[in-house]
Amino acid sequence: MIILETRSLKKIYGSGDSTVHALDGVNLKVENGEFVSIVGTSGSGKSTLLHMLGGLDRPTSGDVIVGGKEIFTLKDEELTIFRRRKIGFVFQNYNLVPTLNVYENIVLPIGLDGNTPDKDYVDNIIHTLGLKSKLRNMPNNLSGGQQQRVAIARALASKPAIILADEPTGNLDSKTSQDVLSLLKVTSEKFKQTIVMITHNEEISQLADRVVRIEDGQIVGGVSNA
Amino acid sequence: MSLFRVNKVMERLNQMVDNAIEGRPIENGFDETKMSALETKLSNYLAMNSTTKEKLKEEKFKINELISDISHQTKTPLSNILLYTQLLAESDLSEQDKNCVAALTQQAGKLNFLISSLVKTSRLETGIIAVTPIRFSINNLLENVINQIKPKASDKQITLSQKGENIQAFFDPKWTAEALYNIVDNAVKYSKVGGKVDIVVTAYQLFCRIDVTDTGIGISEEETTKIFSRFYRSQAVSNEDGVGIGLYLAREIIAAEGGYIKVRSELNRGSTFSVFLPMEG
Amino acid sequence: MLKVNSKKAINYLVKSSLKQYKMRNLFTIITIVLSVSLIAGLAFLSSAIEETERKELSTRQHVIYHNVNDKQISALKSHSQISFEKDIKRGQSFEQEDYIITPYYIEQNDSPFITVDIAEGRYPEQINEVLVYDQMLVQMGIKPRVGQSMSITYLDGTTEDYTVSGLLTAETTDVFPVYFSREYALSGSQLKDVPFDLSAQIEGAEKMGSEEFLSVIRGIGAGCGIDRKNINENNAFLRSLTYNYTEVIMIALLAFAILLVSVLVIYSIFYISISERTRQFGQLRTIGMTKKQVKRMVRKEGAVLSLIGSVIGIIIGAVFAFSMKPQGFSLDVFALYAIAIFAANFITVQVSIAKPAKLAASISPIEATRMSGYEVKNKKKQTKNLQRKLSPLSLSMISTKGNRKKSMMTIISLSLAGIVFMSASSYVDSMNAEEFSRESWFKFGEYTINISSNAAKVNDYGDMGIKANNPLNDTLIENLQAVDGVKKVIAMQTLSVNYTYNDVTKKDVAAPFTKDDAGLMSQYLKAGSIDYEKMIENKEIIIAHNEIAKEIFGWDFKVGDTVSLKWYNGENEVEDVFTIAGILQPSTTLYRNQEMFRLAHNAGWFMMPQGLLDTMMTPKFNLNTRIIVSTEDYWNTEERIEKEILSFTANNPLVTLSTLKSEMENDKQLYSVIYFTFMGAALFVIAFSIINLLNTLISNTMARKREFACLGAIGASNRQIKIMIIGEGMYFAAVNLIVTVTIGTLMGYALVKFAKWNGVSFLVYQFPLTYLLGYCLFVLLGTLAISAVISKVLSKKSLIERLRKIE
Repeated sequence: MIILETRSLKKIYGSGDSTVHALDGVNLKVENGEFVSIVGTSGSGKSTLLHMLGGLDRPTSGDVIVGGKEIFTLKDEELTIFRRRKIGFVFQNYNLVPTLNVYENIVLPIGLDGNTPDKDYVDNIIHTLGLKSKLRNMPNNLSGGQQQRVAIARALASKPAIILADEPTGNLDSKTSQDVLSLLKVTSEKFKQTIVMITHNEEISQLADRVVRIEDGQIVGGVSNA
Repeated sequence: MSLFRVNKVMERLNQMVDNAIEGRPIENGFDETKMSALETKLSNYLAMNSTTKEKLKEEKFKINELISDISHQTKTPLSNILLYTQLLAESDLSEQDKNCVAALTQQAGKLNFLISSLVKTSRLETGIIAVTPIRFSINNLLENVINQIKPKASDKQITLSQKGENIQAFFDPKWTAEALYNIVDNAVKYSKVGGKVDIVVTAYQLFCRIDVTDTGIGISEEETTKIFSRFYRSQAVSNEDGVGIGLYLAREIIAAEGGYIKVRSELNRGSTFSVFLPMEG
Repeated sequence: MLKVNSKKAINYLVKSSLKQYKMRNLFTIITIVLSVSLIAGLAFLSSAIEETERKELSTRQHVIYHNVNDKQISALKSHSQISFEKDIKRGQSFEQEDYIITPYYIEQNDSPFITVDIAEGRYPEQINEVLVYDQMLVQMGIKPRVGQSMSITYLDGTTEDYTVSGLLTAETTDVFPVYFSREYALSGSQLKDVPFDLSAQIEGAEKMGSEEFLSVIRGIGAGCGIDRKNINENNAFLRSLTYNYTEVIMIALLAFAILLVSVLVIYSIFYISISERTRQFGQLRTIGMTKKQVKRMVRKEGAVLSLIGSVIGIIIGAVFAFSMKPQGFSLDVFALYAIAIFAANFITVQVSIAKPAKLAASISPIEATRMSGYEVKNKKKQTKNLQRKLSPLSLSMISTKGNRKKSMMTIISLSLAGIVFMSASSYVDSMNAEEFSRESWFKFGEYTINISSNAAKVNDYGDMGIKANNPLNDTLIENLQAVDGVKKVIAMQTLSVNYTYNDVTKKDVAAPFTKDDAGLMSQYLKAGSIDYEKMIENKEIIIAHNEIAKEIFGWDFKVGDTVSLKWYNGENEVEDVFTIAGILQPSTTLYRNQEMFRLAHNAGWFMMPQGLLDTMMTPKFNLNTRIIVSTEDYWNTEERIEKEILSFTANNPLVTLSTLKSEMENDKQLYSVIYFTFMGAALFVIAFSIINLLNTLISNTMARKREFACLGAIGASNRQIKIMIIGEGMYFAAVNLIVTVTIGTLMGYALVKFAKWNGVSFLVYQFPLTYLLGYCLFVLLGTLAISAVISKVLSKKSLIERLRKIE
């Protein structure tokens, strides 16, 4: 089943001579449960693509279809709620809420949706990500790797359709990076979680089931495991 | 309808769905309300659904049982075939007959591996056998694997090297040895005569990584993710022995332990299979 | 050693940062402008008032030498230390139908003081010429023009004819000076027996200390053979010589308080700004900026802001002061104050940002790259509960509790605003026009009946002459007591005396006290003792208001000294010597007690036992000088009772009636000036506190826009974020209101009581309900509005933009 699809996605910044085609007709399909990495150099449009996939920004033209829903037909507020329920984000800089403890950060998206967390599921995630002993800690007292693990747990907790990871190891040293990536990989397999990860690092991208390469706003090739 | 009542209805519906998810009964008394009717309807639907699910599960179990039965039932005849082939090979035979017997032996061996692999996979999948990870020494694991592969390697004059710290990780020694053996076996199999296979252990905070690097034929990028599929065999290795189930089994084992396998390869340069095993339970 | 000159680079950074953080700059500048303009306004206004006074004093004499003879006049006139002088004669005032005439002679020369502003004509030169007020001629029924003939009939029955040589114009009055020529002063009937007085200005007196000035004028007097008691220095001038420290200290204290508040505000603005810029500072540190340079950069930012704010504030303050007292402007004083305020403010800003600057410098390069842009120094490592409630509203609570330090800053800042607001509004609301008019005798009643001072002026024995046949007699008191609605009738006695003490002979008033009063008075004694019987026996008296004597004369009364009193006993002028038995405490202390006010306010310097006073007068002499009538229900009965009282007094020209109502009417203008002065000051303070409130709320929320962006990314809807922002605002508003209502009310109450205790007696504590409701409304609506605006501003920028800022 295809969980995520883009149809000739375009994003153009500026106008006139200074037009920049950040995305120039991207067609991409992601299967349910797939771990896809999008590789590209900076300026290749990969971040823009990720923002489009997550509904953080609207395209100039084209569609993003998540679970059969064309997400840009939604109004801003609807899109936010859609994002809360269907998309999990893992950012380079973690973006944890500093005043909430680890557990609260993890269940925050569920709380924002007015739901109570599925305790067994969340416990399972916490166990998998090795956060059991840190639940009451404040984010500032955690190392970068630990913070990113919390961010991954947060993304997983609301059982989103897709997790979008934006350079998840960008702020981490290589050793910690390996652990965080391993956790991403293991959780994707264990929880059959669809993950789209962007990175500029070939090595890291190899972890995914499939690597998509993007250059100058266009997909230039890549491997599918389908 | 007042907002309050709408809220109440929504709350009730929400609870109903929660009950359904948790598998608790959803019918909350029977009366003339539409709510009660809805509850019954949903309850029926769920019952139907679960019947279908049960049926599917049953069918899947039956298939697994069938495979298990087939492999089990073929075991004795296969052993007998192997035994008699051996006996045959020991008797005085013409050169041509000897060749036939050799081929027979090889094919029988292959069949034996295939069937035993199938049994293991099906048992893993059905959960008849579970991996039971324990804290165990990686060095012991590797020693075990290397001892098994040594004869094959020395046949092809392939050097085996092992590097890295001696650490403890969390895995099932027996099954992991099997998985790792399959990987190392592949490495030896697809390496040229006189090549080398390096095994390097790296420890991270949460995972430990066992890299098995060969100087073999390598795998193209398109294939790297396919090689773990059941019965997948690359065109490039079609002339080699193998049934295409070893890596599949390896992946299943490692995943069941909470780890994963990653491949990096370059055609004609060699491949690196990285096995990641969790450090803690 | 040569140092690397990094000035240019840092200046560039400062410039760019100032351009970038416009919001912060605006708030900082507003804060500085408010505090500086407040301080500058106060300082400039007070200096302008002083300057105006000084200018006015330059047109006054410094000293008058009384009773000088020709020899003394010529000696004084040729004295080298006297720069200007005028000889003057003032004749006996006398009543003419319904106005009073006082004959004068004033020497005409170019001295800047005691000038007569002649509207038309000239000063009299001939013996039969006069200079008069046109108003007087109108009252006489004569056309007011120069050259007009007129006549005045004097008390002895003689009539003299004059020609009007010049006219003066004046507002309506019933006391008219009439100016005569020198010739008349020497030989005219009304002035020839009156001795000359000589008014003078002393060379360089403005630069003297008060002691020096006194010794100079006394030295001149002594040199010319003039007795000390005939030397009358100008007290207003004398006072201007002693620098008014209390005022300066008051302004300094106020300025300090204002600056303290601005320290808090500026500190919190910079603290927030710095923590927002953690990343920037980290990057600068990474590329090799030293801690010192970072510190210098932040300090420089503060310096630029304080410069701009100070200039604007000083201009506003100067314009304000100038518009209030245009004639009080003096460039050097202005420059002096401006520099002092400027420096004080500069130091304030630097003190405020010292800690934030240190914080900025302490940011390590690693921290900046690792941290997510902003950080909360959270000392708490773990929470007690695994999970707290996570609705948007409870999230805002968690956030305020989580950022404890920042929240504390905000709350302190807001609470200060609220407390100041409540104090100011309590003060203003407690000002009471009725109490203001009741400051004096109206404390005890609503009507006072006095012996007419005009009548007293023209009696040979003054008020004592009238008291010989006192219109304020028992019949009147009985009549008053019989009036329906009258609660109490209090009659108060005084004895007018001429006393001689320390070479000074002056008129004064002595008041009696009873044996019962003696007990109370003994509690308020500063020195000496009161023994009622002994005092009668030994002719002893008590001194009141001694501190004022010290202020006026430079000396005060001492226990054990003797005072010679001269008075009219009903038959003759008699003189006797009395011993000072005790001295009362300063008036402000006495007046805290109503009874002591009644006793002491009645007296001049002297208080004596009733029994002693009785022995000093002819029997049955009625010393009543004032009758106070208090009524049950004044505002409903005042018209009727006034009519009834008038029926007893209207026909008697020797007494005057004043009522609380007329007093309030008279005080109206003065009261409103005082009211609006306080109101203005309070409004300024209130504006300050409200700006502070806005300031704090806005910067507090803006500082967290990144956190909100992050919440937005994980799916918090704009509505939820808005609820969070509003929830947080409401939390602060609630804490602020609680503090305002509790501590603010207490402080307001304390302030009013304290001021009242210190003599501002027209305050009646009033809970400033209207102000408080207004404040509540403002705080709540303001919070809502700000929150709404901020969440709108936030939602305008796309999530990515906001998120990118974090990176």
